[in-house]
Amino acid sequence: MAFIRNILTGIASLFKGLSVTLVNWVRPKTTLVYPWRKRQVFPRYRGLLVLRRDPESGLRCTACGICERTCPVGAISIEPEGKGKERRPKEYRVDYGRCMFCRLCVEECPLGALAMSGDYEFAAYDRDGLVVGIKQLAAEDRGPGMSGKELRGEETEETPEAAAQKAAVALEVPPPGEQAEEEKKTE
Amino acid sequence: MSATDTSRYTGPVGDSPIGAGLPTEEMIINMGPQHPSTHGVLRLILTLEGEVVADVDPDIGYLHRGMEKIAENRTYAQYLPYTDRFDYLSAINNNLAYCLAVEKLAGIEVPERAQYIRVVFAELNRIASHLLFLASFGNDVGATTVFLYGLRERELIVDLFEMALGARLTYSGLRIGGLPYDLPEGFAQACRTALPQISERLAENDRLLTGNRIFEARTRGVGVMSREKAIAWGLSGPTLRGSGAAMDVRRDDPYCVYDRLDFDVPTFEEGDCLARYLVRIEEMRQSMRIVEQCLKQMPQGEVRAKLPRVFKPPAGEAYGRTEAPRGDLSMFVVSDGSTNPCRLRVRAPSFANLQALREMARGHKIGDIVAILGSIDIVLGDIDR
Amino acid sequence: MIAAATSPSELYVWLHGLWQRTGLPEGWWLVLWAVLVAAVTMAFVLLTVMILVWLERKVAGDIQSRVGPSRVGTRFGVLQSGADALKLLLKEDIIPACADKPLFIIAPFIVFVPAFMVYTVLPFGRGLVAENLNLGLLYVVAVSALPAVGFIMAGWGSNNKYAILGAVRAVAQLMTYEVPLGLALLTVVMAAGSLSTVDIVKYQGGLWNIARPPLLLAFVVYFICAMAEVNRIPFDLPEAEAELVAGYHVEYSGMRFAMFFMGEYAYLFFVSGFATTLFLGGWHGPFLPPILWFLIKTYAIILLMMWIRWTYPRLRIDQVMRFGWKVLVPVALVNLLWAAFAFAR
Repeated sequence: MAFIRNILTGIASLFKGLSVTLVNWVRPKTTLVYPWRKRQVFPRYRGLLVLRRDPESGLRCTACGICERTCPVGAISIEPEGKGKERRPKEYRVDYGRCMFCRLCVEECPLGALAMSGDYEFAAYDRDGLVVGIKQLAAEDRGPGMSGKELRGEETEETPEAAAQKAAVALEVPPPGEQAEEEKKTE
Repeated sequence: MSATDTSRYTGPVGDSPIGAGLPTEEMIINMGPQHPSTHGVLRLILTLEGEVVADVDPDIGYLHRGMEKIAENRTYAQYLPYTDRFDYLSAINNNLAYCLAVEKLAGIEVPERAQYIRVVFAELNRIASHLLFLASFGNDVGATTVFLYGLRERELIVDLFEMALGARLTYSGLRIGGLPYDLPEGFAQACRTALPQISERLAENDRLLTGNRIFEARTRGVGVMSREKAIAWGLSGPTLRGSGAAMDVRRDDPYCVYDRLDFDVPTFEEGDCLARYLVRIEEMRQSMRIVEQCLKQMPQGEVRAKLPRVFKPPAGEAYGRTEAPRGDLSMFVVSDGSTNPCRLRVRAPSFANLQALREMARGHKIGDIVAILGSIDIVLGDIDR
Repeated sequence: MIAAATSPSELYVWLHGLWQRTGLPEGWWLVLWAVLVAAVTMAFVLLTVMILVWLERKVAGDIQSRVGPSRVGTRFGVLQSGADALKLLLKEDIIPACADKPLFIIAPFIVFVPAFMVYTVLPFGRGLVAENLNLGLLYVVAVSALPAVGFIMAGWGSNNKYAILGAVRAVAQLMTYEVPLGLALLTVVMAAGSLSTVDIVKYQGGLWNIARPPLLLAFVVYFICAMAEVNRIPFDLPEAEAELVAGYHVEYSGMRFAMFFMGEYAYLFFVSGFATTLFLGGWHGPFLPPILWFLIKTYAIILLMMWIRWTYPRLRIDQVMRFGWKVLVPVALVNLLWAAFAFAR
């Protein structure tokens, strides 16, 4: 008797398995077909580095070299020029062949001059192509990214676009009413 | 020592002894470093008598990167991103073991909020790692679809990590003294949305795989490890708990705020692949419980203890012990008073667990090797460092 | 004219008439006709293989919550198989240094050609059969045993331990599942009273065979054996990627590998078509032309096999053998006895 029951549960388990795949067969697919649809990354995403600018004074970076010393793999190399208050980087090179995107440099920067943007598309045909200079790092059209101070909440530089981006990334599922209030208290 | 007998298997196979009296020749076959199922660059030298495995000899070292030596040339803060890359599927646990050891060494008190958040990250990482185990184990036994489903569920967790820390695999999400920065707005809400979805999909996966007669035929009674042998071989984690020994560092030697949290430690008695698989599935559910409790109990406050600009812990040694998804992951740090560690030693769970493969696999068939290796759930980054 | 030929036999008569007008010897006509039929069948088989490869990948993608091929040829990736075929043709032909060259080179053909030969007796529509052998079923069973030789040749000739293991497993599995397959086919023969596929389809004019209880059980047995014959999960241990990295065809590359691949898919379509012929009423069906019904039923079975493939884990080889000998053979024998009583004349 137990033998028959064993066989029947076995066969039933096989049909249950088929039902799961059937349900998934007809569900909408989870693929984003790249490159026609690209994934929106979160604001804190650790992408390529960006040198921040102030509208009036230009690059914030004073080539102090803290990021260069902090980097565990030695991906950053800086050539400063000028003295005192006029000190600026003549050349700021990042070797992405070495960079492990750990973001220690961004966190250690005392001026909030360095940030990691949401760019993740970067490919080159040889190792030398992976070394990026100050021109690309400080280019006008790069995304803002988040600097160390912004991550720690010490200052917000939210441009309207950044605020909009943040809002766009928030999940669309509305939470149950009271739970949202409770969370704001405990977070 | 009889418990760790490493001689070749010559016993009976199924109903008749090997060869059944005929002169046979053994075959040495190489499941080489490049293989779809060895979970990384692992080389297994199998000695086969026909279809039966007489001996398994793992050959490791293909992923050795000299991480412990590198630690001697980096400052404590600089070394943290390297720790991600040991057991890269559970990066937070590596960071945690390192941070616990160094904080113990320097006598740093981590703020309470940071400890709660550390537990949240560690448990989310446990769920992500076990989902990947589910995916690859299903793939190893032939149900390719489970691979895709497991990874689809893992995307939900990995999105949470990206939201909080910026990266999806090697987060380096902890710092010595706490966390680099606080959780972003909406994190708790995002957690509470994602976890029930995963719970639901786990139930679906149970219907697809756990109760399936073919899956049970592949995993029940395969790779049995008795409780005494498991402890003698130094196993830990789900591999040990699947053999009936209820040992868990979170329970036996609590760190962070685990002593304030209420959770079960799933243990199964049989010691076969199915038991180890079930332990991990149940652990995922317990992890979700822990995350929910932490999100409720978390106080406000600082997330990082103040450290001097140039961090030089006093000379001495400390041992930081955590329960990684694969077992007991611990780091032993020796300091000589300078900015760099003098010696860093990692006790990797997968290293000990892999040694038990020989014990578990002897007498089984080739098809079982892959299932057993999958159920031990090794990561070569841990083994080779 | 072609338009006036409303049935294949009329087409034959018209073409024969053309031949007779040219005045060439009659013997050559037979040869020409055979070559023509073979060419049409070959074209159909190759086209089907292309479609099946694409379908497999699309179905796999759908079940796994992702899109399958979606780049090559519109957003359904319809030209993907063509791109694959082109890639395989252009690949370097590698023959391992210590391989047994004659065996290595001939093996793919011995695997593919029987898969193509069996299409001779498949009735695609009313009168659309390449050759109505009155020993059709026996022919199929006999020819289906030939690829086993090809597997052994491939495994041995590759001079690779994985290949040998895979070949031995493949042959063991094939031999085991031939037995219940043959027994299930016998029940159909008992019902229809003939070994000819065309007669079996004619017998199902009123009621599909599957609706008769003993033949329903025979269908289940046949279906399981068919999956084992085509090396599909849950019986795909001979070529399990996770363990043997492609088993007996691990050393093959380029067009030689393509022959194995094509052989497997051609055989897949054949067993489904054969199931349709024997159990699902062949080309019978209202309104639509018979060949369309045949294709619809065959593709339904193929989709069912694909669905099963992407759901279950694979069985270990000893479990496969145990299941074949200890479960399927007794069931098939009992089924035979039952059918003998049910269809006694």
